[in-house]
Amino acid sequence: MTTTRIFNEKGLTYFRNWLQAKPVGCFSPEALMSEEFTEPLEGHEIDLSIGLSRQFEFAKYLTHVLSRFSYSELMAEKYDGLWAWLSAAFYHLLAGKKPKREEHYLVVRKGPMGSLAYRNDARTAFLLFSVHGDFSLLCLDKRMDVWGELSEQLTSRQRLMLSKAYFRAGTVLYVRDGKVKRGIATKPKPADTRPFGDKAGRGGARRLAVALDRLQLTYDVEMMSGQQILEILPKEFRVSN
Amino acid sequence: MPRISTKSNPTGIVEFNERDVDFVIEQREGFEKFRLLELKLPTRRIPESCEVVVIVRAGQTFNRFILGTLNNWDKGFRQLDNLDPSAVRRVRILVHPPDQPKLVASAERLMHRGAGDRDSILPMIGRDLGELAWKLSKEGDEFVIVYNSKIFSTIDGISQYTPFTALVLPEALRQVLNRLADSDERDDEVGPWAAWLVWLRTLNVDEPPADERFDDPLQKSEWVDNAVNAFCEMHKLGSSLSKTIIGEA
Repeated sequence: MTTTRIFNEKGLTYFRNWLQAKPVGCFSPEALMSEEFTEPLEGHEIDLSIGLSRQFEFAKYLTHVLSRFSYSELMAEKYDGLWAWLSAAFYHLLAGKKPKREEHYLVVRKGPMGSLAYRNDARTAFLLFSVHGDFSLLCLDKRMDVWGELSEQLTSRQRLMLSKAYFRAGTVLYVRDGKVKRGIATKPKPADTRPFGDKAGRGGARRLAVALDRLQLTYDVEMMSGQQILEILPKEFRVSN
Repeated sequence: MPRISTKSNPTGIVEFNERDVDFVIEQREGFEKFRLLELKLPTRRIPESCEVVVIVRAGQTFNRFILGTLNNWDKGFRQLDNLDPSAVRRVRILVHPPDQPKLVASAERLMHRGAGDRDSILPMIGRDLGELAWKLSKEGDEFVIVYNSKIFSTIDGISQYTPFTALVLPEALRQVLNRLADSDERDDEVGPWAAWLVWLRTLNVDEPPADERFDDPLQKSEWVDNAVNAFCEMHKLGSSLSKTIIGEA
């Protein structure tokens, strides 16, 4: 066990430069613990050698390590260095053999595409588990090094990412025996170009977001259980269930 | 999914009259806070034991509060956390019987006083833009005209300043319609374009083709031009500007 740390400006720059080469393997353990690059987050011990294979386990573990904080406190900009440090500490797991773009390891708040903070794997996993608990499996049932289409769809829209209704209903619809069904992120073709009988994407995760958007005009969906929501969803969702 | 007519009220939900809802959003003790002051029911047939839920939205972020019942809700300040600082605050008020999720009354997309015009499809808000006079900004699902608050001190002043309305509004509209024309989400009846498509009908211009996008860029620019011209025609923007210039000469 070791004390969790936060990258300072110098540490963030060092990590950003290191990421540019899209390295495979571990981040420098010396830099991770360096007094020059980091500051300790006293009272928060972490095991950097813990074996993690799924993002759901990672999220659960981070929530345990950072349990003294409220999740909203840790979303503030002053903790960006914490998420970068955690990404560096678990980089070998999060990057795998094919590292992703830097926003998956740093917290990128400004850019031509707007804030990409949601793409920081560690921060988003922690946020989802803190808000949704076990329902977060819907978005976190994946290998440590995978981001995925469903994550992009759900987390790029904060309204959806924080919607308890979406995660409850999504769990009832798409999670079976602790596993998320395959193909739920498929995009349905527009009605006028869809071949007759093509049902791809119907009852899927994209359509669920649209359906809930409509239902929330008539129901306070955020107070409803997954099963209650299922009962008022259009037929296409009952077929997929 | 079946289309629900926007003209009838199949759900029976009572809409609050905007002037019967009074709330404030302000900075207090270094935090942004919300407080619901008044909620006048438009009808007596809603039981006072119904719960009042408030959702404050800013772009893609939101805070949700259960304030109590219609006859006894918490009128104190509630702190707003993690809202998108650059987005316009919009408020939803939901009323439903306790433990029953179906709404009996609601108020949608309210803006707090001072934040801009409350019900415009293209609200205006003031910010310090340096040397820039205005810009169109997309905040969440919503377009906003941001004017430079160092140049124009109040929203009333700007909306009565003809050169601004005659020159800026058509250009802002053009930018919005170009994005609408390029969007593949515009057939979604509750999506970001739904209100725009309803509004466009008031201009008596053709709806954009049902396909995902315009195939021909010329066809697109022609459609946008027609809509902008119709808007200028409807509000006689050219004549107003001309009168202002002659008046000033």
